[in-house]
Amino acid sequence: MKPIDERGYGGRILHLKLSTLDYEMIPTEKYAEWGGGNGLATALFWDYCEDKTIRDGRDEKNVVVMATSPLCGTAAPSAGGRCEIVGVGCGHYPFGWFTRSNIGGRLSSMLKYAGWDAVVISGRAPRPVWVEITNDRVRYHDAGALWGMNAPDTQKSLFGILDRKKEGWGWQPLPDEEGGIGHTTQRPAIVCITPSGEHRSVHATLVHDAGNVCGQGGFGAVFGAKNLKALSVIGTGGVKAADPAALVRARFRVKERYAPDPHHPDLYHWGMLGNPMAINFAGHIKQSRRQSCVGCLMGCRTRYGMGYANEIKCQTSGWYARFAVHYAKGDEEAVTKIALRVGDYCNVMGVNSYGFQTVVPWLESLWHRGLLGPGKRIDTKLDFSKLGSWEFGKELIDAFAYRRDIGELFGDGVVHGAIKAGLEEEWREGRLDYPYWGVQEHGYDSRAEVEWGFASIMTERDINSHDFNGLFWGATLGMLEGVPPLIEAEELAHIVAKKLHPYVDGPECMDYSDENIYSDAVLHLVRWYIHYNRFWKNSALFCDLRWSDLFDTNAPDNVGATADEEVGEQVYWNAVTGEGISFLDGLKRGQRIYMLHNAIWALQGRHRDMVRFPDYIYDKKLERTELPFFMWIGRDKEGKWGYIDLRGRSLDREKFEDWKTRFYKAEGLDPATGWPTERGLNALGLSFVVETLKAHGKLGKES
Amino acid sequence: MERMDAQKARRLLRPLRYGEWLEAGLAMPPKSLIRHSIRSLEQLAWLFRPVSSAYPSVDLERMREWVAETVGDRELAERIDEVLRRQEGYKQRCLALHNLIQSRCEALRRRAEEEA
Amino acid sequence: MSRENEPRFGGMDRRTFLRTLAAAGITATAGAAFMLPGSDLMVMPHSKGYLVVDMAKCMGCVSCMMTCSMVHHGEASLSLSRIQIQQDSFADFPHDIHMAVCHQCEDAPCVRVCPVEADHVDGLFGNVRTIDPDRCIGCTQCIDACPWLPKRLQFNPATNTVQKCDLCANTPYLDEKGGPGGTQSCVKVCPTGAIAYVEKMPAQHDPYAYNVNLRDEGWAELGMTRDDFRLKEG
Repeated sequence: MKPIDERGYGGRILHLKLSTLDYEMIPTEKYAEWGGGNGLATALFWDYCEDKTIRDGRDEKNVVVMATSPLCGTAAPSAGGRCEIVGVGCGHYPFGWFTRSNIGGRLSSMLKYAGWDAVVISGRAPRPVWVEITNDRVRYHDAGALWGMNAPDTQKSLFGILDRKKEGWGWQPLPDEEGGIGHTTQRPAIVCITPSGEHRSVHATLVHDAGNVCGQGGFGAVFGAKNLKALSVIGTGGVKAADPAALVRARFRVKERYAPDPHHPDLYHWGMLGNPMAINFAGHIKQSRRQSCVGCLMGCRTRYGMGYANEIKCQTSGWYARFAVHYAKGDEEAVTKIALRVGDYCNVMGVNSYGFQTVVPWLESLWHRGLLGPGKRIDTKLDFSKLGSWEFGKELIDAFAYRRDIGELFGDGVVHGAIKAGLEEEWREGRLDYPYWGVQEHGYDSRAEVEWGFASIMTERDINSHDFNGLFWGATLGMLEGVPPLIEAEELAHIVAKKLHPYVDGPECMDYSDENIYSDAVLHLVRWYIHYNRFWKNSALFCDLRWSDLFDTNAPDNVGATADEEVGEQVYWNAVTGEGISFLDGLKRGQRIYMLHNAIWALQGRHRDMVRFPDYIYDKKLERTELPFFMWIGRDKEGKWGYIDLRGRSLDREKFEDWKTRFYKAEGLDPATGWPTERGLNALGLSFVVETLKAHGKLGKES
Repeated sequence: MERMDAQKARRLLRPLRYGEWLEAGLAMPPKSLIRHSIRSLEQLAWLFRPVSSAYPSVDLERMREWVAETVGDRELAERIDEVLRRQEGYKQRCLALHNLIQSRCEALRRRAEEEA
Repeated sequence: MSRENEPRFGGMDRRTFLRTLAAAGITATAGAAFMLPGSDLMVMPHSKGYLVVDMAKCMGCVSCMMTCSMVHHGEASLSLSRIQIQQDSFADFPHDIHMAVCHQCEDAPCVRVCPVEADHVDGLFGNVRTIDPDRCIGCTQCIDACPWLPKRLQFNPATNTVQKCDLCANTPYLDEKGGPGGTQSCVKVCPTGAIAYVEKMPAQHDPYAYNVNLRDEGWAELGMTRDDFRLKEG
């Protein structure tokens, strides 16, 4: 086999030892079996985090790992630009789980070009610092002057500092390089925190460039607790592929067969890879461009010509629109601009906007019900009568960033804050829609889109993985438009089932009718979903918004690119790494990574009894009046496939508990506790975990 | 439209209190939904306005009930019911609903202003 | 980029002078650039192909850069890419992205100044201006001579040689035939169609000529502008 740096890896891992402002280099070779991303990072966490029982990511003992994959920095389609962040997080309920998040843009590719596969961050710096990584050179700098700065100001300041020759990033040798070991036209990739991270708010994000944000898990607060203001990376090297021609060939082929056609976009396309989405909830502003992470087939973000809102997308761009509509009295352009500006300000101040989508309507309801306001149960100076204005949006975000006013109450978590205010029932009864681990609902309710909910509760966060979700959008939007489904239900079920083989034997896994959601077929679909995530998506770092591509109407047979022998995930992996693994081998790696996660959660104190949704998911039927229908596929009593409306059901506690038991067994976990068993660990090559679990009394019993 | 006094017209056009709002949304292809709370009859007309890039998103039957019971405009609710009973696609029904609700709002506004 | 300091020939600037020569039937034959006797002027045949870009359409994925270096060198490297995309995430559209392609200049100054004729006009590949790595001595005079910023030639510190866009003529890791008339990897890989290959030589000396509007009705359907932008190269 070729040397590691000729098969997609940089070859070295950087360990930043913040407490002593020192660093060391770890050879990647030792960890290559984990692939990259989440697997690599989890293995490093296991080795470098001495106390894995900690329950708050802001603990000095926490170790954070930022990890790339062999595909980062290459043109593997929509896989070249993600960076995985792993460590103990904060803000979850009941406490901060070992968790993951992810950030796009140029960060991971720059790390690779500088020769680094991952960065392990341990300890706590004695004072605020920022770290400069230039190829193999690493320097700590005092960040006193940067402390308190927002995300754009921090990055612009560092661009200025790093552009030492003041040449404005034309072709030039790297800053301060004597002899010129490399030249670049590129800016450094900087990831930073803002005052919200400095104040250790669990809503704090990591921000890179204008709109790349790592939101879930409160990693901004984790960096803040470590006194780490920013990391700047610039590299002039490259990523060598084991078979360069194969990589190029597959990239050309995937464009021909699947990529969105910008000349003839199909807005009603079904699938992921071929979808022309530029996700912007707040309407289009024509003076704009698509913008993408490194290597993407079609960018999902937008850059504008109006001085703000660059690169914001999706939920960030639209969560405030519902309030702005009332304030701007239906003036469409004004609504769009307020929504974009407030969304942008979330990124400027490094505050995770996702929670706002759920929490702000709830806060508004508390205000109307007399539970929030000056001198009320939740005491606030924020004037909710101004909700919908830019000024209110800014004040609200500032409150969360600086942990003042209601930002202090909710600074350790929204559910934590509700309980502190004596409003736990709001959550238990679903007025505060935080269905898994104290994390907000994503929009695809666990009672309807069960794979999303089940996988979220069987992991540690909103899984935020859209693999099957395109089906909901395709069918639902098709119904709105009045066009027939682009793929008939039965055909779709068969297409997906084939992709999931051998996890499932037939199309039953896609039957989301009430009778079938607790079946073994759906159970194995959820297992596939988690394993796919853990390796192909979180470790190989294929972007969630393009992969997996299970079905795709750009292909003549509607069969998606996932696992395809010419353009499937494993084709790119093998072209770069030369490993020659199968798609299924990747899923097995995913299962192994998930097992290691379960070991860490067990050490943190997880037990199967904690793995449950709040009461409303079981006790209240899903209404969702904002949707005329929540379409999926299923079979009727005669076994005939069709599109069905998933609204109107709740989960059954007993059936779900039984489902969990079967799930744990299938995964090699003890169904009584949810802890890994010795046999399960050994079967996955994780025997090194056994003694640690045993020592903590957390080794599961064999069933 | 049945003869009604200005007071009733103003009542039907009133801004509703919290708890009376209708949860709705705007769906935008290929994949997005902005939720909206509809807080008056006029906002309902706004929700159904025809725009090229979005669809009104709401459970139409719940919307009809809301017009009848919460807003209190049973006459409009009956005419909405007629639209909902048509064998048409969702988009076509939404267009018809927009015309209906918009006309109703205009008529109510005229009546409210007549006697003001 | 001003060329005010360039030498003049009988009162004519270089371009006018070259045209005059062409009108008089004095042109270089394919692959044969030659020095005009009695002058320091090199006459060279036009390249048969050119890359043009739409800076308002590029989405900054740098797939073109990574693929360029992959087909030439077997590795994805922004520093070894012969097309350079620069972006400022915080700048306003359309000034947030700059695309830099080699112009395959009519009177390529990089070819002119090469002391060892490593940088040459390749008659086998459509007269593309290219550098023979075996002859290059790494003096970087060609880089200095390039009138554009960022420079359209790149110094490779690993081999101590300079390289430039050859329209994919010499691509050991590309399965297809490259060069003028063949595949250009950057064009083929670009997801939005922001790079195009043309056979007609864009106006030389015009800082706007290589940046064209490649946006069509489909682009408008995606919600963006078809407006023309006069975006100047650096």
